[in-house]
Amino acid sequence: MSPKNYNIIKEVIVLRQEWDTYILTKLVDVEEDVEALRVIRDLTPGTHKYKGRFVKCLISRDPDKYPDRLRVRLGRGQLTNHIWSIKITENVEGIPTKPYHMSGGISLKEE
Amino acid sequence: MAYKHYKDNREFIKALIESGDLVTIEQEVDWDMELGAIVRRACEKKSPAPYFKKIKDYPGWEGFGAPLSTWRRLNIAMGLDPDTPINVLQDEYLRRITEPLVKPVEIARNDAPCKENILTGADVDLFKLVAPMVHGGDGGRYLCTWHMVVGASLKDPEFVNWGMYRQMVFDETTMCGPVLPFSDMGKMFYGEYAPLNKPMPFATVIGMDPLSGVAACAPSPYPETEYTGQLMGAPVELVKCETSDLLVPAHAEIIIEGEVIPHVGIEEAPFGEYTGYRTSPRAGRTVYKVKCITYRNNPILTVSNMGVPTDEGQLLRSFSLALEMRKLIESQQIPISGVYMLPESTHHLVVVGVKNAYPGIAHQIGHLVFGSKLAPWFHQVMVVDEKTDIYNINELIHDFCTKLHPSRGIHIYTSHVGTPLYPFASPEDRKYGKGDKVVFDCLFPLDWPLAETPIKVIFSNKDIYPEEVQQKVLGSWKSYGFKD
Repeated sequence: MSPKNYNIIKEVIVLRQEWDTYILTKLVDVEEDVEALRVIRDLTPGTHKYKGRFVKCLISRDPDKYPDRLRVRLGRGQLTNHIWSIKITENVEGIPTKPYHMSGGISLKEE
Repeated sequence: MAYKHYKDNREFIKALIESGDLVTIEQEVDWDMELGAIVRRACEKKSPAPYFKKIKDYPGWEGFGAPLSTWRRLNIAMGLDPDTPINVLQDEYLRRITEPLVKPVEIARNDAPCKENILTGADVDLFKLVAPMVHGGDGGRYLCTWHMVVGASLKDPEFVNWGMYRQMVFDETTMCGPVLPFSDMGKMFYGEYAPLNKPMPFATVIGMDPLSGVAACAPSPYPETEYTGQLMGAPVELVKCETSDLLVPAHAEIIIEGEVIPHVGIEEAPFGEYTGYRTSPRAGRTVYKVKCITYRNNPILTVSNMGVPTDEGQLLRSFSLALEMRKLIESQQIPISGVYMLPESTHHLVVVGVKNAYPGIAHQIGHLVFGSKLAPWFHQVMVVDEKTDIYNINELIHDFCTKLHPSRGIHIYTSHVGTPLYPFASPEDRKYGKGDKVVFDCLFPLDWPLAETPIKVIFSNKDIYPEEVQQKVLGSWKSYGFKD
């Protein structure tokens, strides 16, 4: 079986959830595999499509590294072609009390 | 005595059906971009307003797009003939808002159609409402694009503001959207509530009658409830909210009640805006927590789709801002013939016709206009003489290209107030709302000798065709064979 068909079948079986997020910095500056606080939107079809949520997550340019798919939009809504992957490590309830000024994600990496 | 008006959105829709200014779409449309795309195209083609009878995922819901994006629909909302000329509409509007204020009346809860359905507690879910993805790539689903946000002053609860501040759905009970600090709501919330860390009660009204919408967009020195009454010539009917003492139009389609939360922000935008661009950055914006939703049976969501002209944002704001500038300039006894803002300029260009009575008059007009509290919304003033028809784009372009001296006639003022929505502004300027301004002086200098001053070769100029020649030609026009 070709790797492409394997991935197609894997996606169907696993039913990977799809999210999107906005990255306001240059994409090359995005830190992969570092836990960050982000706003992501649920792309599941239906009445709740585009619902936002605060999450702590890891993202990767490797579309197969993490369980869910992530689409990335730039600051004026432009959809990039590349599919990323995302692992949600924690759903954050409420609105983060830290003054939250969007910058495309707040890194939670230890300084 | 009441002028002809429509007490709700539904009566207005009926009137537009009768006048041919509405298209009823029976087939199902998708709230995810298709609905928005239809409204957008209708705005760009100046088509009739689209009325959506069936929306995917939302049985029983309807939609009404571009309600006031043409001069015809604004004329109809005002109870006038659809083809009323703009200057006549302006004069009538100004006449009405100089009449005595008309206070609203509060009606009983049981008589208010907006309370036919009430969701509170765990039933509150903004996704039960048709929140469209208006443009692909928008920061979220913008439920509130043709609506008003009602809020009351903490210091003076009798002072209530109606304003149109876009609102995006974040989750089931949260919306967010920009509230600029210099706006009426901004002054109220950031000036009075936030310093005390106090949430501000709000009510979002969607699908109100058209004149309430006009009032919400207009800069008004009076409460918009009474301003609407002036436009109608009759009191607007209000009803108390379920979760606060705020009063809202009783015949509106949807009411969303809750609190504006201080000292938090949720990222919002991008969104297609009145400038015709997605300009403002995605940033932490004002947060609205929703506590209650009420709505009419078979509710109709109203949608304004902002983008390249012409939509409501441009038409109504251009109209109302021009009138405010006209009142301001006339109050200083400057001899103007009129003020007009082309909707195509996305209310960035103020055109002032003036009798060139003294040197520097264009500068004076510029300083006055740019010194007003409305100055953030525009950055260009074009001053033409009183013989130019300010409503005629051809004459304006002609004046711009022939009477504006490239260096002597262009006056730039720097370090003025602007908005984050200026597409031409740098990211830094947008972030801080900074803007420069310019005056285009299209007047011939008064110190030119009369014999040296060019005269316009136009039929209506008596220096070219004396009065009797003009009258003879006009009187015989049809007999010559002309049909126009």
